[in-house]
Amino acid sequence: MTFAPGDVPPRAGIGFKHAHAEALLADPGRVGFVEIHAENYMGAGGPPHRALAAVREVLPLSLHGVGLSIGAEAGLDPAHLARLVAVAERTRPGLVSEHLAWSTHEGAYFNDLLPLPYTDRVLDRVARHVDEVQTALGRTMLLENPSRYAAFEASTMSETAFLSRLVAMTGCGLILDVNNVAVSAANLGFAAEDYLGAFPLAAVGEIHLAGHREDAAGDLLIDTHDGPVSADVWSLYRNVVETIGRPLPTLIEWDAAVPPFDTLAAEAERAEAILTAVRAREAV
Amino acid sequence: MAEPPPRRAEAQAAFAAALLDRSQRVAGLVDGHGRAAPERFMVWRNTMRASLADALGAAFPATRRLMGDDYFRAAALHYVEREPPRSPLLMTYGGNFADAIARLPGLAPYPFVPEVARLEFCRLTAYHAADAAPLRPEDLAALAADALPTARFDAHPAAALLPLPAGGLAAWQKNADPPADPSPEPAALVTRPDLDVRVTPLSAAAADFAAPLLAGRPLGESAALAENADIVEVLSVLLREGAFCRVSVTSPT
Repeated sequence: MTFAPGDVPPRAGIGFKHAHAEALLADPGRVGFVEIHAENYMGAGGPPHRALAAVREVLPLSLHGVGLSIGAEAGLDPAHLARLVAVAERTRPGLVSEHLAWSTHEGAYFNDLLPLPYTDRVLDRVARHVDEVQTALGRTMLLENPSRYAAFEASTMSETAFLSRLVAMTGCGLILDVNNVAVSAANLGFAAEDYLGAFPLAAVGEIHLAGHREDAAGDLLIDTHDGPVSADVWSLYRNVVETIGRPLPTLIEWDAAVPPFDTLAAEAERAEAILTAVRAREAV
Repeated sequence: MAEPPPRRAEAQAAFAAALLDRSQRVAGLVDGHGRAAPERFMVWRNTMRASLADALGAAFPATRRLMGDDYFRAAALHYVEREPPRSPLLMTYGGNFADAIARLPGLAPYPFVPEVARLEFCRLTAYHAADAAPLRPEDLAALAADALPTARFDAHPAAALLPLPAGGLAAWQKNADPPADPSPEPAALVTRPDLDVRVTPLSAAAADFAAPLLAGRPLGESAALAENADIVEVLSVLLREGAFCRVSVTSPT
């Protein structure tokens, strides 16, 4: 059995880790879908491809790019875009997403999601790049809100205004990363609820949840993806899903200090319970 | 002499330069209340440096064990600053890390350490190489005996021959996870006939024969280059380990 595009269900999923392949294949029903970082499957072949193909036979897939550098001043790297299209063709994901960020400059790749100022000029550039990606993929993509550690003096609009305008210009959807909202709110001193109130929720196609931690000095929250989802993020998640009023594909991201499959699946089941409650209310 | 003023953070050239060069600063970052917050740039610099050093640590575990965590980390960060990845495919990062550590004065007495790094990167490359069915011994048996000297082999996409004259093979075997019995041989054949990457020790004579063969030279010519090799034995090892994926012969005219 395989899945056609567009069929990532509004359930809880997990980031696929090669070490979990066996446990996941033994009990795939514990999660609604898996998400992969596209770049990890851009090698020519080998065990990663084989494991993913086996998982793909039994679960829907969300393809999440981390290296396209959509916010880069220079144009998109056509070779990397072609690789993303090739992975999408090979794996037939239900969702394809990337980040509102840049990561490459003059050929150097920084392996991090670097920040953008929110200005008209940057908006035009990002919109152009999103159009380019959507044209190459032949489908709409989702773009994820970043975790922020500082703001730019040069910004002339809020992140939510930037994202709203981007959605209107390109027709793209959004990933709402609730952990990134909590991290940004703490670091920039705004209320996460206000941000979510201004977020274009109608465009949200997927939600991300993850763990974060304080930096060494205790001044900032860092988006580390190395632990369980925090209580405040669970609470924001429950509220935003109730506001949206329909269940959405929800990913548990846990990319460093990766726990056993069972721990990750239990975290997904916690999100699933919240989605089930919203689904029940929707049915009334 | 006054320091040059910091460049604007919104210029990606300035941001990128300050990520790699710790003497550079950027201006224009603020906290949530509009107050200048230049120190927050450190979050991105630290994340970039740490994540790439971690990636190297994961790619070169035996090299790290040999160098010790602290020395390896320092060498990795030095490399990250000078040679950041040129591709978002992190699996390709570290291709010349072995060359970089070979230039470290502290490692000069230990030439086997860069060899271990070379072998680890070669294994990683084999792990991600294209899949292909390896050539089987019976495929060779089907060829006419008089055509055999003209036989040319296509190397399997995962196959590589690595000269390791300074004892890198044994050093890697002792520091692999799990460790293996060290071999004194000065070369290694790296293959991945199916899912598992294999490392096969080769003698100098065997490597003299395997190298031209893997480079696509005809069997007869390759054998002539390796007078001391037991070519039947070496060829059977190469086939058994999945070094080739195709063979072709030139028909006698």
